[in-house]
Amino acid sequence: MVLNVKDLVKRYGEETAIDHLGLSIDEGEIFGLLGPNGAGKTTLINSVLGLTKTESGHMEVLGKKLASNGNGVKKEIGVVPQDLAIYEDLTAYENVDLFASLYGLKGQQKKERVEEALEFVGLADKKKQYPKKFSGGMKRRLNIAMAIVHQPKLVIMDEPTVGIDPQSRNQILESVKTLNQRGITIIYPSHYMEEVEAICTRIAIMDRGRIIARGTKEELKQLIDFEEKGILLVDRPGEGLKTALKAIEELNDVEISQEGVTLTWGKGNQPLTRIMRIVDEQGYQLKGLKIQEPNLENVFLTLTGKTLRD
Amino acid sequence: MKLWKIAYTTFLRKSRDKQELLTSILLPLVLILILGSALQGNFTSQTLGNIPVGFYTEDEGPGRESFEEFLEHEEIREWLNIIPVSDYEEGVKMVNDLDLLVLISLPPDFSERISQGLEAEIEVLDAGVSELYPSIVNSIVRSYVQGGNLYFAVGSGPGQWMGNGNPGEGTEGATEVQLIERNTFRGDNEPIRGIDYYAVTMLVMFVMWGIFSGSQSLTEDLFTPMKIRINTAPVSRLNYFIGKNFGVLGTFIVQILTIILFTKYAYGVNWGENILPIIGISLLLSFVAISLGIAVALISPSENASTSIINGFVVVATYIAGGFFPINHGEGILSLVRNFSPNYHAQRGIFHFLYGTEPGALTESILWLLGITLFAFVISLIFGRRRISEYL
Ligand SMILES: Nc1ncnc2c1ncn2[C@@H]1O[C@H](COP(=O)(O)OP(=O)(O)OP(=O)(O)O)[C@@H](O)[C@H]1O
Ligand SMILES: [Mg+2]
Repeated sequence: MVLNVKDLVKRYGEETAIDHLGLSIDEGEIFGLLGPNGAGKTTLINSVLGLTKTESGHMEVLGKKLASNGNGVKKEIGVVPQDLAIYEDLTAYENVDLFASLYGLKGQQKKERVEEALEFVGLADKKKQYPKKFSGGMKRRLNIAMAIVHQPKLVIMDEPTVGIDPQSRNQILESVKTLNQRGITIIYPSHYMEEVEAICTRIAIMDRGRIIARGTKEELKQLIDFEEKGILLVDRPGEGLKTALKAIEELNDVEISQEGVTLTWGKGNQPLTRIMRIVDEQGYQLKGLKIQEPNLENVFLTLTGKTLRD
Repeated sequence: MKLWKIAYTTFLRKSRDKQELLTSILLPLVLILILGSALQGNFTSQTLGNIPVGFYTEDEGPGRESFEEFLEHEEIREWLNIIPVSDYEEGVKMVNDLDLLVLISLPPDFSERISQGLEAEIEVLDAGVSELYPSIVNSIVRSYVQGGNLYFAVGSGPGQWMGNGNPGEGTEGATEVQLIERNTFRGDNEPIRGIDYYAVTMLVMFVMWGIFSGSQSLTEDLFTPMKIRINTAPVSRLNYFIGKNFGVLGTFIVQILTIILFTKYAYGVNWGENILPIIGISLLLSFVAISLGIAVALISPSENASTSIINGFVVVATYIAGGFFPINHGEGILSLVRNFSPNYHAQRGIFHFLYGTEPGALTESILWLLGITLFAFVISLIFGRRRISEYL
């Protein structure tokens, strides 16, 4: 087990940031920690890394207690802080090189690893430049390179894509997947539902210092019983079609919209063949059917009654 | 290994800071030149009328009375601030510490020798920081001696020459009283020039501005996201911090060497034959600056507050040490307060090394500087614990 947390409690004054939280993460996962701002994701990470005092709880990283096994375990972990932690007056190369040294790399091996890390985040051609001149996305990527240069077994990336352009964002998401394919376990706290859904193999949903649900995204979606939506793509749908469709009892709702006809049905009750027959009978040509899958946003909404982003 | 990497990287970063280079190296070089050439000019006229002059005598005779009366004259009081000194050694020490710029002393047998027609001496001892002060005092004393006042006083009646006084020298007969001019700092009677003085005080002040570096070396990592990286890296926080301060110390070495060597060769400043002890004191002072910087970072509630504290402290510490111009401490509160000024101890140590007659002064300065460093560390430990744990 890469991470094992039991009954963790962390308070800031009166406020309980982590509330009797338990969590275990297996090797090889990209583990998403999904929760809105202030859910306690960063506090959880900081507690686990021993960066903040906790009121109570048992924590193990890579099978060891961090406090008692300091540097041994630390070498196996790479941490990408939520806020940029780079020295603006060192070049990209020097930034990465400094931390390579701190993690005990030396000589030729260090040089290779630094080059590799910069290459990996796509900054190889900018290695001699100062981050002062970097875009937000480039700084974020440097932030990552500094944390992976020592090739850790576990990488914790706290919201690495906040405030950056889509291109950098995609590149970061791709690189997370690549790291994972190399056998590195990744813990990925984020409040971006789409990102977590796109790359994570397992997800825990966090709210107010607690984990309220966990599993693969499919498992999470099954947790809730909601309606599915589809849009029937036809040219100029008329009232006749609408009435005919309404006769199908599995359909909960039928609305004419700009694109075509929006249909809603209960989960797993998709009356596809009958819909197609009616379209045909009414003399329309079916151009397509867009089915809207349930997403984690719905899951979160159902579980907490809140949206992920305000 | 890691330690040196951290030190080297810190040094590298600091040396890239152009503004820092400008203010820590170029500015002192310019100021030394400006202040050094101003010492003989403007600068002194402001302090005229307040030249602290000590007066010491064990003579009980009429010669003393007359001289004292003379010093009471309004015209003279306009120029000199006469401070009676009860002990000769004490007076010399005050001159050495620049509490007095000049010490006038009459020997115990002053009246007697004059009444016997022997040659008498008035000694004028100066600190050698300026040519102007002693020359003013000398000419005042000379005017007294040559004016023949003494003879009227010591003699039995007005206009009557004393003992074997040689009338052959006419009214110039008064030259039998010798004016002995001495300099406490160096025997050769050559005063310290303004530029020599300011090279020392400005070096000291600009090393003290390094408090900012000490403070920053702590705050930039402790109170920023960088602390996450450092705390999760397999290197102890203390180790990292020590490495950082070695790097900062490196920048101090460059600063100190540049200032000393440049002023030595370009301005001809007297740094003595062997500059190593001066580098040593300066480095010790940079230690003081770093430790004070850490303490300030830990006790001040905000970045702004710490900037104000540091600015205020350095200016006051420089002022009371006589860094901007020699000042009169007297024996009052100022002479106590100046002990809290690291500048004072560093300057005293350097001046004594270069010109001094008190061999103990250097050791004393070093002990004071070490004491201040220790004090800063104690403050850091007391306030630092709470502050650091708050931030984690
Ligand atoms: N240093 C601190 N002092 C006081 N309260 C804090 C501190 N750090 C976090 N908190 C509080 O703890 C709670 C959890 O914050 P945390 O930063 O862990 O949330 P998060 O899930 O990481 O949010 P985000 O998505 O904004 O990063 C919040 O209510 C926050 O206000
Ligand atoms: Mg966070």
